[in-house]
Amino acid sequence: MSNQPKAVIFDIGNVLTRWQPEAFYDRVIGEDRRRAMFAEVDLHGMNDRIDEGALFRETIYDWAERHPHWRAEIRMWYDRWIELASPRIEGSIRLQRALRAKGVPVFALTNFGRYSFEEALPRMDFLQDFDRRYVSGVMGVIKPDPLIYQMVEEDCGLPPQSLLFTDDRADNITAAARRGWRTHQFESWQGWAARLVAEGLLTQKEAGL
Amino acid sequence: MSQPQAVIFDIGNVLIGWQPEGYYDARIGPERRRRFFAEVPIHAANVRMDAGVAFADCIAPLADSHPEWREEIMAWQADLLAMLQPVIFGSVALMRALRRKGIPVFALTNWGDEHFDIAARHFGFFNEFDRAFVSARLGLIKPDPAIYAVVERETGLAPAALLFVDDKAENVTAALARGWRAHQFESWQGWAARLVAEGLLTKAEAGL
Repeated sequence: MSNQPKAVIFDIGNVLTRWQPEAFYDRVIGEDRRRAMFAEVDLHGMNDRIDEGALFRETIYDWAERHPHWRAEIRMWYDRWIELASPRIEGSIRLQRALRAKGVPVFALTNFGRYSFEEALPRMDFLQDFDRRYVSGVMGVIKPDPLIYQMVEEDCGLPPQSLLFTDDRADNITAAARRGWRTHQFESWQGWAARLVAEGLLTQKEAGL
Repeated sequence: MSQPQAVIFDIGNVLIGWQPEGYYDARIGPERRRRFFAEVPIHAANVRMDAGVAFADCIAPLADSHPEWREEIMAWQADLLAMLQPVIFGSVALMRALRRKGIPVFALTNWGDEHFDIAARHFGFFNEFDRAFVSARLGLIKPDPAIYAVVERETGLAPAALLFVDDKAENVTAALARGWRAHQFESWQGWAARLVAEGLLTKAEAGL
């Protein structure tokens, strides 16, 4: 196909590695206490601040001081962050590498803290396997704000319809589709693999199907 | 324009399961099933049926050329309803929720003419589309761009106003290439989230 995508853009959380803080706390403190904590403490709001560029450890430890009853548990968000962001989704990482092996540019577009990303880089090798990385905490804007998609377009210089983007969140997908990007709402690496084959970017074998 | 003006459903593996392999596994075992599909080009014949050829002219003749598989071949139609399962109730509920809100819902399906009638007699939701675009009746199958063009022409809606769901990546890609919005179906929950994000349903209406 002559109008193949010119670049493939990956979300990271729940696409390349699992990101389910609730599941982590379910394991560590039990589901009942986890529910109570998430009801009392706006942990996702805290995480959004980090994704928008706030300091990593300081933001979390501050939050812990404001909720001393949950101090130890909130600090885990920083102390055991790598466990919150586990396990890796190996099928997706293979697709990322297969695309780059064929010379297809692969970008990241992620709601990820500026400083948490820096700390994660040496611990998650696949974060280094991108041609370009668009990290919300560095850009100061998060998905699904249309501005972040526009910033990607301006930086990479590729037309919207030549970008193929995958993300597990429907709101992020819809925002990209409104800008004219090609999109795939991620549910499994197999579904994403089938899409990359249908787009003519990989063969079935290269896609692991 | 922000919201889609119509939603278009593929049927097989979106609204109802279609896994002939599972049907044969249960009846003749996986080993004989693999042999059956290796020896009898029934999937290729089914594509011809989807394109408009009658069962008697594409699938039934296979029973004459492969008499040892006659029973299995004739089951393709005689036992069609047993191959169509399960109904994916989450998706049917989404289709109904959309129609209740006054959003037109169309079908765009690769499906044989006679088989569509058989299914429509047994599954109520087949009769609930504002309009069903059935490949065999159009003489075109997905992912041929021409079948998408028929939908655009018949509905009179702009490509960007159409939101299409299909489980096959090549059908999704073909729709996007025409400027449609599209969602590759894996689970009704994923599709429901997309309908919410598009502003067509609330989370409660979408069953989330």
